[in-house]
Amino acid sequence: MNHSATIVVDDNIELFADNPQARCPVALVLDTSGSMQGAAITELQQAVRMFYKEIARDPLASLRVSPSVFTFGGRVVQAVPFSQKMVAPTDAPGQLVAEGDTPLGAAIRAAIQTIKEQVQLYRQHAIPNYRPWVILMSDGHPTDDWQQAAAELKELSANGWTVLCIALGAHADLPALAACSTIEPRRIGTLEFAPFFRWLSASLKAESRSATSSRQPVGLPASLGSVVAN
Amino acid sequence: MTRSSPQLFDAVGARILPGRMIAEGAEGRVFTACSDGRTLIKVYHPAPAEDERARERKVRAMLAADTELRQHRLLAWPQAAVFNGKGRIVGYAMRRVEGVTLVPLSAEIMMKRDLPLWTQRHVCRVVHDLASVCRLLEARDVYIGDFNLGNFLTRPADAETCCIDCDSFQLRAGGEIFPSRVYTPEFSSPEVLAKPARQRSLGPSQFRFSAALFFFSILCRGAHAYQVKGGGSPEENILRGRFFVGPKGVATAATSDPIYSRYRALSPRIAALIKRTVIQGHSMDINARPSFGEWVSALREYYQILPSN
Repeated sequence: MNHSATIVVDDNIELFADNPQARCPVALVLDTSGSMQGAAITELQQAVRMFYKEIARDPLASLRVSPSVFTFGGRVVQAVPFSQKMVAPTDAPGQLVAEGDTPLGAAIRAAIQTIKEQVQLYRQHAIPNYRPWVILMSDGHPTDDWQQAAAELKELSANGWTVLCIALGAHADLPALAACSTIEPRRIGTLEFAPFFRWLSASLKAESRSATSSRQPVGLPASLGSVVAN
Repeated sequence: MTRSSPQLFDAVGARILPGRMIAEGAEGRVFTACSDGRTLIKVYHPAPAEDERARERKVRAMLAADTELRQHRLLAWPQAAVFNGKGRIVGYAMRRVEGVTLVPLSAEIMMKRDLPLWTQRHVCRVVHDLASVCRLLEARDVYIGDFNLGNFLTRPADAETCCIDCDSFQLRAGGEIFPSRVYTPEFSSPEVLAKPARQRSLGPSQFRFSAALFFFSILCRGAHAYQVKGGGSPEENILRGRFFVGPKGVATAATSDPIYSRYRALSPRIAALIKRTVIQGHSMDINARPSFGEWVSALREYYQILPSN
């Protein structure tokens, strides 16, 4: 066998040249429907900002965790794209506005599709990736056709994605959230938004220090909110 | 013993007063020493009795190492045992090293932010120091298994780089092998990865393979020789032999991949050492993996040709 190597190079755009580290795509899929108005949307905004700040403070996590924020309130918006270089506190979404209905299904479909595109982009550019994380938070009942999207997300959860469904307050549609993941949903109150995102950032920091092939099971801490029986 | 103020003694029973805790890991905590600003104290977490006994034997073995290892400026080698009130070794004292971890070298964007004055010449110095230390260790049958950027400190002013996690090294003493505490999967050789964790051990060939991948990753700002187009974790690709140049020298990743921009900037001798590691040295002939002497020589040459600013 001839072992002489020939390296052919060109000057194409090098998308990940500044940061070739493995990536962990994380989609925060947040309900911003009208019912979130008041303290809920304010607390959520602050908690998400703290999350970005925490990830940015950890050098390795800031290179490897790649968060994106999707909001669904009337329509689905990818408020913050996946970070391609390094997470900074200023990447956190601007003002979240609570308005409109709750298109949960459309939000799930958008998150799934965007994560898959992101993973494809990593593969095209030789960037290893951790299993994707989806954090789905909702305080109400879906107003669109959500069942098929939920089933697809649950299947991805069964196949390695980490899908955490969080019921915000007493009126969230628990059966709908339970249909989205193999992990039981958890109900939390407004005052627990910050502890949840603190736990999430700590978990992602730990993930970023592990090998990409590591498949440690993820579970929400017992002290957080209440487990919801299906 | 409390978590905040453990009762510690030296070999003659004098009390050691730990100061501020500066680090905590899975295996123990590191404190400043109140009596001496140039010394740090590592105190192990309690462990099952058998593990604690093995740890005591390992500390004794490290303290019995030759003077060159114990006094080398690029190694924070254990200097003295630290005992609990029952006379058991629960840690050790080591020289305090000033510097920053190598984590900023994980990516160009972070190096520019955290070490803005650094050039590839500084990075080359880092790898040169590591290769020099590895040569010294290998000659004494001591091997690094936990290749982790956080286990090395570098001085921003001149890039002198020191190993700070010496008790994680694999060493042999008195017919006993004290294994590495951790084997970083993405920098492990295929033969190490193929074994169950409890059966893993290192020899010169496995050490050389791991070190070569680690050197490459530092020189190429976080790129990994086994990150390839199409996915797979580096450790999966190591096992399959899927590296960024294929078995016949054909590129397996797109030429626009980040690995190329760094790789093509290396000197021909450095590039040849990498290719020898991942092609012949992968599994066909593990003895073909470059020696640390070859690395030191190639890095010295590379350093000379790199611009100083």
